[in-house]
Amino acid sequence: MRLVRRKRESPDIPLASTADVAFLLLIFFIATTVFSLDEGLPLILPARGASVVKVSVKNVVRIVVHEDGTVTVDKKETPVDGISGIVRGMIAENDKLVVSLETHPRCRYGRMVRVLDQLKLASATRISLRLFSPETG
Amino acid sequence: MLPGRMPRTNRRAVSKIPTCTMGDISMLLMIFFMSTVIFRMDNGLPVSLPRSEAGQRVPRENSARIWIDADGRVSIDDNIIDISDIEPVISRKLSRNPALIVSFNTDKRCPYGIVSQAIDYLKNANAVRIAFMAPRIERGGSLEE
Repeated sequence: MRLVRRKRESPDIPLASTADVAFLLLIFFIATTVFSLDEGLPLILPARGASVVKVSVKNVVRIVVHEDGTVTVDKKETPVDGISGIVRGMIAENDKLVVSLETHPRCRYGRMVRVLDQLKLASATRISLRLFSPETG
Repeated sequence: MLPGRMPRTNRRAVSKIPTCTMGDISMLLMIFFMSTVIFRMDNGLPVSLPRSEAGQRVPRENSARIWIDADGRVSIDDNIIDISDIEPVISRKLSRNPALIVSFNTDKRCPYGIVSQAIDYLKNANAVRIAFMAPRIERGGSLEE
């Protein structure tokens, strides 16, 4: 019996495309990476001991966020989405307008931020944050 | 060059850059960066932030973050602190960095009274630049509270 020893073909993995695969992965991850950004509503508080500025009543708009989440603009109940339009109109009429945002202490913070967001949308710059006390309301 | 002194060669040495190791190199780089990347996790308290439409970028370098959760617990720098401790902690930070912006990461269910108290302590510490963190909603997203 004659046993013929055949030469085996050595198995080969094509390596020429590894670079392409690696770069493809690299580009995929670069393109899909999202760096988390901090986004928020900035505000400048009055400094301690800052002189009290008296503002004429006609330059102030009072926006009150009540405990149940209803919002009143100068004592008129307003849907939250409508605030930016109203305030924008008021600023157009009177550029010295100060917005006094008064929030009930038991009102949810999210509600107040929504109103503040509306004020920012209306590009109101003079905003004063206050706590709403029912006696003065 | 004088003729006949040196054999004239037409063939130049072909310059080649070996490219078969490029895959290994790029894989190596990728693995290196994947293993050395550090995701900074600073989750002070689990909060669900309110969303906004007018949110602006707040620079991270100058910001001190205050976390207030739905139950009114306050945390700065991964420590739960009493709300009245905001004043000394922030004034210490402010003396190191006068351009400090205090950013509120407050749960939207938190009662506003607590936030207002925190703001009062910030006023006492003379930290006037604040920001209410509220990531912007994508177009068509909802602002539900």
